[in-house]
Amino acid sequence: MKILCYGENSEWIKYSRIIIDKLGGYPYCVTPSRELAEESSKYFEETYFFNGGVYEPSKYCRAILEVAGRIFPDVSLFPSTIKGRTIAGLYAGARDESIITDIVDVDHEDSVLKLKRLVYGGSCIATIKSTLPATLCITPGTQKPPETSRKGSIEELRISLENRITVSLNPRVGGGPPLEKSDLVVAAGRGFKNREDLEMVRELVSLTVNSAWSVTRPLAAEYGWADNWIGISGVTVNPRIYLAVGVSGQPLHMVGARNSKIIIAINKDPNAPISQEADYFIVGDLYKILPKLIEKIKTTKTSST
Amino acid sequence: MKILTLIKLTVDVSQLKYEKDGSPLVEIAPNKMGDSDKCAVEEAIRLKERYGASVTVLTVGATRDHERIIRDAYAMGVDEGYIIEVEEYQKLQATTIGDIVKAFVEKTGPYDLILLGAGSLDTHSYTLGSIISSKIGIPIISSVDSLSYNGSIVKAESVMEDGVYVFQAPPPLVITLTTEANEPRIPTLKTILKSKKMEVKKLRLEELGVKPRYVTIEDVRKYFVERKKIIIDAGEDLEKAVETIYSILKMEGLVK
Ligand SMILES: Cc1cc2nc3c(=O)[nH]c(=O)nc-3n(C[C@H](O)[C@H](O)[C@H](O)COP(=O)(O)OP(=O)(O)OC[C@H]3O[C@@H](n4cnc5c(N)ncnc54)[C@H](O)[C@@H]3O)c2cc1C
Ligand SMILES: Nc1ncnc2c1ncn2[C@@H]1O[C@H](COP(=O)(O)O)[C@@H](O)[C@H]1O
Repeated sequence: MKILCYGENSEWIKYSRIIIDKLGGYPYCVTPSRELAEESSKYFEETYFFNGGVYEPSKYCRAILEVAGRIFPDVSLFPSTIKGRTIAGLYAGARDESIITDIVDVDHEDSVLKLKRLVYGGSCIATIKSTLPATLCITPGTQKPPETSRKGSIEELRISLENRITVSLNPRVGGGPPLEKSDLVVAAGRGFKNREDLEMVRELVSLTVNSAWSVTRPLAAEYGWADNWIGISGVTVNPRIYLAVGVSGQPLHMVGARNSKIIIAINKDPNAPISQEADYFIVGDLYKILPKLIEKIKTTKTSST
Repeated sequence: MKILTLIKLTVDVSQLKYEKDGSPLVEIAPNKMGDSDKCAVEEAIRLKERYGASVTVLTVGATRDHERIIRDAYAMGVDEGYIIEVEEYQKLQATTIGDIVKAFVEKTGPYDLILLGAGSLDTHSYTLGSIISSKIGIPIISSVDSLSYNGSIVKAESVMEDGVYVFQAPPPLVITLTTEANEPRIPTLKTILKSKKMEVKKLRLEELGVKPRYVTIEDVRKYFVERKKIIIDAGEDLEKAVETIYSILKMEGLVK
């Protein structure tokens, strides 16, 4: 089986390698920059790159189709992000092959793929079968394959990338530390009234071991308070403790958190949906609880040293 | 200007109930026009009001509810509506819906703009817009949170992981819209009454020359992980609440 992956970013490049190992196949990667190609060559046998500049889907798709035209992949992998899906749709449309998105697990029997995907807004998982060739959009996770000293080949694609759409990007600044491999993930939701209040979350993270913070989608996508968010359209995490603060617990968010070992939720509404999905449901005002928790950690620390 | 808008009959996911074994009771769940599709219809009507346009809606399916959502679109100001009749519409592959839209556009188009929802919440793929774009050969701008048009150029903003993208291009375009794009209007009694008298046109797959491909679904189950559900009321005992969180962090060795 030949597997072609669109290497959107370095976290996904690593995670996709785990998916590829599960499927078992010869891996190719296409990245939109030389920098990402260097990263990809540590995990992929063959990498192609193009100088994509600012994302524009049809331009990116043309480059990936160019590689597909050379190698004839059986499976093509994209991250199930806004960009990944858009490019994947163009790609599957051009190749007239089936496309399945929001995949959380892959398997295969001979040449039939067995896939688990999220449906009904993350409330259900469907098991579906697909023949090859197929385009798959995978919900990005944070697991990483072991480091290797592999150095795959890298080739630059020289193709024309003009397009009819002009595009500019206002990049987002500042967010939390990366979520990969964190043992504690603190997720902040709309219970936080101001951006400055996230300082409490940052302080909690700085006082705990191997921890990181993130937010629900509205805080990132609407308010711009963070780089990433957890959920169906964001990142999936699997820490030992997931501490959700001021988060209501919509399925679209929870699908990103359900792999956590322990879920603790702080919410002032006793009937919030997250009450059904938490191991420990603390009913109360985060503005009272978080400062006390931070104080407790600080005082215990000083008294024990 | 000619605008085509796609609308999908979508299960209201928030009202989904389950069998004991966790299979969803989809048949008895309420249905409605997709939330982002409603925004696509609203955007089309606004363009019609401002620049003059004919707005056509299309839905793929075969129930009375499909007729209902076409009338909902009429009540918002759409000019004509088509149902492409497919019995097992819920199992259609996204690429087949792409083929249907392509054949429909060849029959009734060309269109300057094809507007649709970025994604439906039930059996979503979030990719139909780009599938259509590559099948028809019209560029796409996807996941648009805010759209403007000055009579010659479309300007669209989309909030993504790494920032806000601004795309600009002249029609023809395929554009997918999120629920952030606008506040869809509430139809008036007058437009609702008028919508009831309008004709809903129907076409069969054979008339469009499309061969359907279906998804093979083996199983659908509620996605839920059982949890301990221990409740601690911090209003009653703040100390205990803080102590609980602290001791779990400590037990897992996460306190510095
Ligand atoms: C297509 C689509 C994709 C989406 N993808 C995602 C996704 O990937 N990830 C995601 O997170 N969302 C996603 N969403 C949005 C999702 O549906 C919810 O709207 C979102 O998760 C809600 O975020 P929230 O919990 O922060 O806010 P809310 O639902 O507003 O909840 C805030 C909670 O804070 C509590 N609260 C308020 N004040 C306090 C206080 N002082 N102390 C304690 N608690 C307090 C309230 O009781 C409430 O439960 C998506 C939506 C759509 C339409
Ligand atoms: N059966 C359908 N009939 C009409 N439009 C559809 C259908 N399925 C999907 N669409 C359109 O495509 C968008 C994306 O849907 P989905 O691919 O299901 O996420 C929807 O918001 C609709 O605008």
